[in-house]
Amino acid sequence: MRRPEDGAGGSSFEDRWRRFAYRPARRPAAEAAARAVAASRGAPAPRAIPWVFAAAGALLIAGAALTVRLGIRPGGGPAPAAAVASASISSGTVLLWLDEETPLYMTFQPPEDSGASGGER
Amino acid sequence: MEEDRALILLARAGDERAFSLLVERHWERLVAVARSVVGDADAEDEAQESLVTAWRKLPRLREPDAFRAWLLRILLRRCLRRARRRWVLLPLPFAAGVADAGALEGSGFVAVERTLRALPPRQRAVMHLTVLEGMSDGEIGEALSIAAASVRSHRRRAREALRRFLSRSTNEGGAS
Repeated sequence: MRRPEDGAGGSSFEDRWRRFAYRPARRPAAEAAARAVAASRGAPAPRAIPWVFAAAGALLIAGAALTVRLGIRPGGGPAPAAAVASASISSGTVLLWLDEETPLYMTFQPPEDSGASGGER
Repeated sequence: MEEDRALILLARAGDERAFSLLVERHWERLVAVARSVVGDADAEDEAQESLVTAWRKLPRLREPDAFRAWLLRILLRRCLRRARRRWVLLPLPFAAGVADAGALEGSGFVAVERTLRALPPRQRAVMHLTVLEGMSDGEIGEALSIAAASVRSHRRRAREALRRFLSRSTNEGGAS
């Protein structure tokens, strides 16, 4: 229920607001009701297409998640034997396959071993 | 209330006459709430669309006593969506027709709309339901699908914004 502190910052504004909000509607209620019923009658059945899109989207996401989880490479099969053979990975190195023939090595080094490129000023 | 319930049960079964009588009881209130949230220009259209939704979904309303709150919730959801899409309220004279513009300025309604525009849509709704309808925080929260604590927070911020806006308007009015 209404409390004294619930006012809107001045009784004259509140009065004007009340008159603004509650002045009679231009459209009579009976006409509004008739329009609502008529609109419902003429309305097309809800379309199923958005659900198809939603289902397709969910399948795509699930597929992508599965691909990532199982570690399947984008090319489909395993990396070519030659490439794999030449891909010796030492500790601190990460190998990513950009495509079937393009390995990307990322090497991590602790800061003290970084030499000239290090942070001494 | 009891009569409302009978009408709701009939309307739920597809009785158009009962629905029309129900609308007659709630129409002015729906338009009033919509005026505060989306402005006068769009208020009746939003109230109208809410009735279309209500008539379609009425068979699924399980508890007839909840009709009033249910209808308000449908309206507010629409109004908030509309207000977010079109942030700026159309000036009132656009809705009333240019011929009435002078009378509207004199009535102070244009100033009311200008003041309400100082608030975000949800705060307008909270303030309308609190100040003009006298609803409890719980009822408002239910209508807006937010917690009662959020209602209090929206109201506090809205009151501060209104106070600031009104005092600035008064000062500017006094200075000119």
